[in-house]
Parts: sequence; C-alpha cells; structure tokens
Amino acid sequence: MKKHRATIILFILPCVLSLFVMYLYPVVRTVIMSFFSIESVTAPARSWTFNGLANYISLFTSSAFLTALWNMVRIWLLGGVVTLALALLFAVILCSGVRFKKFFRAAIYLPNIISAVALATMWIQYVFNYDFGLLNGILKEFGVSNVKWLGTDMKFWSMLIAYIFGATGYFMLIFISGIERIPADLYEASTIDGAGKVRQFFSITMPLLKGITKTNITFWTITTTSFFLWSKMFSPVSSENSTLVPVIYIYDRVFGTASNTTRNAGLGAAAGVFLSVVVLLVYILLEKVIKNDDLEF
Amino acid sequence: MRSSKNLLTILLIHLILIIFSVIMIVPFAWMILTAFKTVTESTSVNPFVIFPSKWRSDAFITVWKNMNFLLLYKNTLLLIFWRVVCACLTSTFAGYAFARLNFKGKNLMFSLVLFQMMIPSQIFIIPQYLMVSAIKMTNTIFALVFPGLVSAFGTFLMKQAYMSLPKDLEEAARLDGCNILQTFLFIMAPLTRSTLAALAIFTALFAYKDLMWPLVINTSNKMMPLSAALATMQGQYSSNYPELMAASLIASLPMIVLYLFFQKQFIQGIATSGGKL
Repeated sequence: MKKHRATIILFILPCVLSLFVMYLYPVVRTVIMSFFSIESVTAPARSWTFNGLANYISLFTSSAFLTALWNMVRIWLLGGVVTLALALLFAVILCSGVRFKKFFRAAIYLPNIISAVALATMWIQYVFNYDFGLLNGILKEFGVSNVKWLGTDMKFWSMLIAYIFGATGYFMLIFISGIERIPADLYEASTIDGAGKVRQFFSITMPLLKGITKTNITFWTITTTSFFLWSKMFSPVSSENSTLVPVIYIYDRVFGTASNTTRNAGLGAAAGVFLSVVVLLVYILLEKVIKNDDLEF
Repeated sequence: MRSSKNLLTILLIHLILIIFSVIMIVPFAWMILTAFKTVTESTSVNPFVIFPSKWRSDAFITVWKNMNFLLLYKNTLLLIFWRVVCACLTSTFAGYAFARLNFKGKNLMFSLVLFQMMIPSQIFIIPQYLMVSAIKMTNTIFALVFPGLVSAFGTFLMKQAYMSLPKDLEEAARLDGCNILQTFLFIMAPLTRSTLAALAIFTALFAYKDLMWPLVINTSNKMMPLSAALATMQGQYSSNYPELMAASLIASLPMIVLYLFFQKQFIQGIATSGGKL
C-alpha cells in the first residue's frame, strides 16, 4: 500500500504542484494586490499601502476601462454571433457532400496557420490601406470614394472583421467534427419521411450539436477575454480607445512603456480580478442555459 | 423542376464557398507577391497590379540579415518543444491518475484543474512575471516556457481519454502482474496516442501564437520568439511593405511546413480538443 501511494504521488505531483505554484498562488496574490496601492509591479510588498476598494472604485470611474469593457462585450457578442454562424454555415455546407471539400476546408482554415502577427500585418497594411488597399480598390470599381478603414470611427470594426475572418476556420473545424459524428441513418430516415435540408438542419443537426456549440461558445469566451494580439497590432504604439480591450488596459498599467498611461499595478490587478469574476459568471450562465442532455448517438 | 432547383442550390453553395476561399487566399497571395516587389511597386495605387515586374529577393535578404531569423527560429522551436513536452508529460500522468486511481483529495485537486481552465490568463500574469523576475530568469527560454510547464486543459483532455478506455484491459494487465506504472506505460498510455497528438498540436499552436507573455517577459531582442519579434518590427518599419511581408512570410514558414506535413493530425487534433470539452 505504501508503494502504491508513492506511485500515485509520482503521477500527480508534477501537475498539481505546478498548478499550485504557477496558477493558484498567482490568483491569491493578484486578489490581494487588487486591494493595495502599488505603483510599480516589482515594488516589494513592504511598500504596498492598503487602500481597500479604491482600486475597484477608480476602475469603474475610469472611462478607459469602461471603454475597454464595452469593446470586449461587443467583440464577444457581435463577433461571436457572426463567427459562430459563419463557422456553422461552412461546416454544414462542407459536410453536405460538396466537391473539393478538403480544398475549401484548408482555404477557410488557412488564416490559422499563418503567424497571427503576420496575418494582422497583412490586413492592416494591405486590405485596409487608405491609398492602395484592396477594399478601397474594390470600392473604387463601384464608384465609392475611399473609406478610412483605420480612422478612429472605423478602426474597431475593421479590427473585428479581420479577427472574424481569422477565427472562423478554427470554430468551423470543431463544428465539422461534431456534424461528422451524427449518424448518417438519421438523415436517411428523415429524407424518407420527406424532410428537406432546412428541416433536417433544424430538427437533427442543431439539437445534436448542442454540446459542440457550448464548447465553441466557451472557447470563444476564452479567446475574447484574452483578446490582446489584434488590439496590439491595430494600435502598436499607444493604445487607442477604438481598439482598447481589458487585457491591453492591464498590460499598459502593469508593464506598459507607453507614456500616455501611468503605471499602477494594483489597478491592473483589480481589473484582472474583475474580469475573472465576469468570466466565471458567464460560464455558470452557459451551464444553466445550455443543458448538456448527453444525447446518445 | 426539382433537379433544376437542386442545381441552383448547388451552384449557390459553391459560389459562397469560392467567394469565401478567395477572400481567405487573396491577402495571403498578396503577402507572397509583395515580398518580391520593390517599395514603389508595393504601394502602387492600383491594387490590381498583381505581379512584381521582376522577382526580387532583396527584401528577404535584408530582413534575414537584420532580424537574425535563425535565432528567432531557434527560440520559437525551443519554446514550442518544451511546452509540448511539459504539457504532454504532466498531463498524461495526471490525467491517468485522475481517471483511474483513487487517492485522498482527488476531487479537490481536480477542481484546481477545472478552475485554472476557466479563469482568464490575465489574472495570473502579474505574479507569474514577478516569480520569473524574482529568480532572475527573465530573457531566457525558461521564462518563455514558464506558464506552459503544466497544462490544465491537457490534464482534462487526457483524463477524458483515459476514462473512455475499457477497464478490463487494465484489470487483465494487473492480474498478469503489472504494477501501476507498468500498466500505465505499456498498456494504457499507448492507447491514448491520438489524444496526446491532439494535445501536442493544440499546445504548439498556442505557443506559436502567444504574444502577450513573450512581450512581457523577454524584452531582449535576442530572446524573443517569432511572434514578439515580428510585432516589434511592425511598429518599427511600418512603411517598407516588401520587407514587412518578407519577414511575415519567413515567420509563418515553420507552421505552414508543419501543417502541410501533418494536415490530417492538425484537423483531427482540433476536432478532438473541441469534442472532448
């Protein structure tokens, strides 16, 4: 029995110990930091001064944080609906027996293979370029005058469009794997019963994809809350309101070198804690709304 | 009547697919073509001037020299390699233990795994940065790998994989005199190869994409992975398109090559990681 225990420790210890040190301890530490006034992230704990809820209060009175939060909500909701709808649409189309399935699948997944930084560069420098960009070039053919895609008004939407294009392929692959697991005889039986493609989609595909849809929403939530790369690429030098998201807000306050923000590690920690709470609430809500019925098929 | 309607639907579907594929491929093709152009050609007002007048490799040579790509490749490969090794090792052992062994505090420990999976990474990043800088390890490969020493998602994935294996196999092995470690190494672990491959691909993709942690922890140009170096470069020479695109291409190359070789595993890997959650 003693030997048995040693084996179990060998199996479990590396994982649990690292989770403790690298993830649980940081959570506790961040929560504590969020109640202190800390100027520099590397300041020793001695120099911290307790200031209660002051960080949280200044967080919610800070227009920058509220803007960041609002942008994140819009990316999550609008971007999520469009991305997942497109992903589902293409998954259904590709699974309906079209020709060149492999080619189309690879093409739609393509943006995920290119370095994301390179992909963002390409959108910014080429597609959205004011003078000679692809979009303005096409618009010109239709007699529409050049649009400032990267101007303050449009930047958020341009970023969102680029992001959606890049993300669709990934979620499509997950939907495809779900659809392929639905047994073909269900469709055959319903065809015999006279159901059309549309009817089949709503009566068979959709209900049986519930679990996969939940997975995709969860993944989407994870990627949106840690949204950083695209925002950083669209505003590389200093953060702008149009592309500001919470992670950028935290990054600027804690590690930032940009001159337009003052460093405040305690505030950054408070923002991190608040975000985590929001995300946990979203998961709980998801769990309540989309019940896993564990459909056997 | 019916068949003509069907034909129309099929045409429409292919049209949508083709349009979308073109939208995906055209910018990528532009990236390749621009890398061979001169600066003036690349900023030509007519976006339909497609091919470079002459295929030049100047941009590639310049960025290759200026950006020390060999070093960046090395950093990125090491980052990916160690993250994959660490994630696979810790996850496969812990996943097996959570799925099949009984011990005190199992549920509590597993809730730690679930907790880490659900919480967004920005809550960890400040103390993680402090830990690495406290042991004076910033600007090292270790620093880059650090948050990936363990993978909660991987542990979860492997636990699911072990739970789906039949119990009799294990019992038979135990009756034949294998101890836990032998049963695990010779009987059970080989059966989870496909899930492990999925985890490796998932981990590699995320390590390759990660930008925030490398930007925070390794500020020295010499210790950056491709993503961070490229992002820094974009800010610096934002108007030399051929060079920018040449650098982007060189940075994307490793993943493109991997994808071409392991396309099946990539697609399966993503399907598995999504389906098991």
